[in-house]
Amino acid sequence: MSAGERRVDTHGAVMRGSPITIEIDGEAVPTYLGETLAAAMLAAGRRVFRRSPRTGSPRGVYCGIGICYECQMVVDGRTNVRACVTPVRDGMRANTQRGPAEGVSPVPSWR
Amino acid sequence: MALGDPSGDRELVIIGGGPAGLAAAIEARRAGVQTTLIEERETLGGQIFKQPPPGFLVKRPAAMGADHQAGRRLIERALASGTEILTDHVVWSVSGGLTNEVGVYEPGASARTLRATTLILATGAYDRPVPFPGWTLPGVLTAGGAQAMVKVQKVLPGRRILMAGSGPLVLAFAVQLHRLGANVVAVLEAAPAPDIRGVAGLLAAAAAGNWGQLREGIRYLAYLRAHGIPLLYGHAIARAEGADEVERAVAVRVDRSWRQLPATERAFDVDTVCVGYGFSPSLEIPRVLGLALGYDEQLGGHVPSHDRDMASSAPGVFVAGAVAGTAGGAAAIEEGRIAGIAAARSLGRLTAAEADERMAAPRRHLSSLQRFRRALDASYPVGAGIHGWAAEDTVVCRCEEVTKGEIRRNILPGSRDPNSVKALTRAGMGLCQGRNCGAQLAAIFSAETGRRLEDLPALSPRLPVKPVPIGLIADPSRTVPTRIQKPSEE
Amino acid sequence: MRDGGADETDVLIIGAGLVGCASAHYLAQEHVECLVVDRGEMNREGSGTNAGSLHIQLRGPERLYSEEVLREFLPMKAEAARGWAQIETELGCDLGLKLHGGLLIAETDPEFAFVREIVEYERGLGLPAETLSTAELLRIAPHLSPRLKGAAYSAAEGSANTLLVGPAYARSAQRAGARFRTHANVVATERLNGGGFLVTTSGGPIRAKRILNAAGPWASALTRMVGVALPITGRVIQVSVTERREVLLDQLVGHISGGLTLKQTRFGTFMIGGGWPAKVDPATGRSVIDHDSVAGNLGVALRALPALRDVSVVRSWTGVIAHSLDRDGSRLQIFGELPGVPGYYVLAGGTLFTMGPLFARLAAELLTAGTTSFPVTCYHPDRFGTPA
Repeated sequence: MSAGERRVDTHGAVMRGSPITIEIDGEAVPTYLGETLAAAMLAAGRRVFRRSPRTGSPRGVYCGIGICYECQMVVDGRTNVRACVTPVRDGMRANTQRGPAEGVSPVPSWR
Repeated sequence: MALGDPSGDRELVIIGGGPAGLAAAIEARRAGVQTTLIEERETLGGQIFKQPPPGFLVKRPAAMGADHQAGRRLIERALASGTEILTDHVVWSVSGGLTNEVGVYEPGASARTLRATTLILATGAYDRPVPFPGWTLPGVLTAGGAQAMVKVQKVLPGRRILMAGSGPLVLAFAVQLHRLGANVVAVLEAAPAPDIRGVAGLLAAAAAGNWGQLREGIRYLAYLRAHGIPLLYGHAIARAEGADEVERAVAVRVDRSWRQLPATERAFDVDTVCVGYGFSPSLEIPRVLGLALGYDEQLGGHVPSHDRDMASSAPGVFVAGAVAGTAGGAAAIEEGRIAGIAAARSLGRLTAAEADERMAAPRRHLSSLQRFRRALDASYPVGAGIHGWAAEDTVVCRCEEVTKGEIRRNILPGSRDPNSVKALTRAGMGLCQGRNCGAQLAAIFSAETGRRLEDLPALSPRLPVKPVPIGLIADPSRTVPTRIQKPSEE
Repeated sequence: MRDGGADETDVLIIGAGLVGCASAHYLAQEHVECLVVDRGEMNREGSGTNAGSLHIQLRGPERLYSEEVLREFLPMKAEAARGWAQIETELGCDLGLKLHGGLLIAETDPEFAFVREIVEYERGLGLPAETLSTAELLRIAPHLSPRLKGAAYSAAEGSANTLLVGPAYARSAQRAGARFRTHANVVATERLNGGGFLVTTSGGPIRAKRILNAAGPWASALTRMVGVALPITGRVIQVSVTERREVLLDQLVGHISGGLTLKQTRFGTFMIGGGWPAKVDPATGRSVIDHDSVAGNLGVALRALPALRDVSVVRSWTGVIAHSLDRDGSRLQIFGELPGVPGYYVLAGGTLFTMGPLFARLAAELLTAGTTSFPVTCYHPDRFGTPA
């Protein structure tokens, strides 16, 4: 396997869906029908899915099964879309998500 | 569709389409029970029998592995059984009582309420969240998440991978990853190297019909050795470092209780850390139903109590599989079968004698599997020190970005309830609904206040069980009711 | 809490919600010794479960207040608004305050006519309010539904984070010497010869010169211990909160006919309430979410803000709010010394989020100076007649 290739070579055991192109942060990214947006991101070596609201920290795939809500991106204009449970669609436009609601106040301290 | 319009009464609703749920459906249908099975994903099989996504074509099933094959067989039998199967449906509310009501929605489509005389909860478990410094960096992911990416999507989560966890699954997955072309740099096993007693226990348990599992384990060990992948016993992940993603991971030695030992660090040049320290049952529905729970650190914390018929403390509600703390697909299947048969009996579709007869084989098999599991658990006991791996500035509530230190500083005087910390800091209020921080929040609260973990109330069980879009459940035709509900006078 | 502290105090405050905590703060400022007890956790009941709305416009029973009541109520409302505007400075911390105005929307022509009536009435009373047409409404709140006919608007309204206010008062009170004891249930109250009370709690007995009952819906169970029946009751309501979204709404949104409070917090989450009832599970006595009720509540919110369609609810909860049972339905707060029980004061009853801090300040005045800087005769418990 080449150094950059992250898609598993199944040696013909599994045939991926038709190849399509989606747009991530304005760039064309090749993927396959049947893949999730998260898989397409990871296959393209893109691992920062969003920046957290309070501190702007980079976040990416954690649970991979749709319960942690870390992999949220803006997809076709909709915010808070979990990439790991969203199948790609030809012409999909995804953006890394910042916030929403930036400038959130810090955690108070009782003592 | 408005809520409160029952879309039909059912004898049995099974929540969860993994091995336990599928097996339950097959047995229930065999007894003639009118059965509906609800699964959140598009495909059946749960986490253990993950199926390829729609759109991928499996050309050589034999190359997909034993789990895939077993899963396909089970799924096909369920599909042929006459069960009403609702995939891509999310359960957002459940209420008990004389009739159980299940609020379910199909994303982008509609919502409805199902009424069921009996319920089987086969909602599974999820990777135990383990906070440690740097765990929120892209590149740190759960073993379950990495498996989903690799087995289903056929995409590797990264280039240079450190596996950190405990138990046979960690070994199996490391081997699997490597076979698929990943560069597995090392495997950290928190448990100490197996000793004579542990090995003897495993051998004895294996003798009761589990040789296959034991052989597999030995093969994995041999594979790692053959490929020069270090397996470090008594080691755990200390921290992950990097700017925008993992660039380096640091391992540390741990004692038998999994407490990290100072000055024993070892760095690895990796871009990915797969973390697998067991599973926590998905307790949202059991809590909302008020089911009695037991506490067992080995099983991931709180677990719904049940009898040998898989009946919970609520009449007509059964549990099976990973949600009951049970590990492994084979055991989940047997528990599912027992629950399905017990549900059929409670509905009068089977006599007690018929039920006993059908339960005999699953009980025997389950018993043997449980023996092996107990021996395995003895080799990989979860150490309480795991709760101390987070540093003061480690984010504990990932959703709301609340650190351990902030949690400690926001415990109100005299408080006996971690929910008060939630109120002040927002920890537990995010989209994951407390799944990833609840246990750690409780552990921190327990350490600060001295109250025992088992005695602490959980993050309040609330509806919705899963986030639900307003458009699907809002009913704009209703007006404000004028009747007033009084609280209890007590 | 520090158990085994002195079992004696000057003022025993029963109830560690907003009212109890704020009263302790204001009393401690005046160097009056006080001890706050609560049978449960601090700020947990009504004070921890309401939606944090700050109301200035007249709603519900307030629209039927007599002239007498209005004479006392209106200046207090104005003062309460002033208090909220500077509360974060007063307590030295962030309370999630948003004061960008409040709207009472109208969906039909008759409702809009009603808006005009209410606004005219309010302006006549000196309450700043204005009628907004659809266009004017959308100019300040562009994401509200263009189908709305208009709204009544008050610039002084808004919201705060109810989870933070009570505890912030408690912390300040504690620093000034007030004591707090949670998980201490009051089971008996004995009047002592020569004045004062001996109160039995699950956390031990407490001797107090005076009592301030700030126990919300349970205030009457406590006053019965000293032989007085207080017509106050509770009702169970529910609130829902959503995931975070980009900022779509600055104002507090209500409905001219009631049944809605909708706001977007500083975290970007939407909080939806409005007094829709929850259910009480007869088996356990616990309040549980009523689906139909939630559906109705969300339905009104959706009609007001269509963008909510794709926004997900993440949590719903229930809470108990109290209101008095005045015969005329006015539901006035109850504030004052219990007739026939000198030294026993009550401060309880509805809409005590907006008015809570002010009433607490007045309670401290009453307990220190014996008078209040605002007349409060209409709130006095003696309006219910002689004690039982």
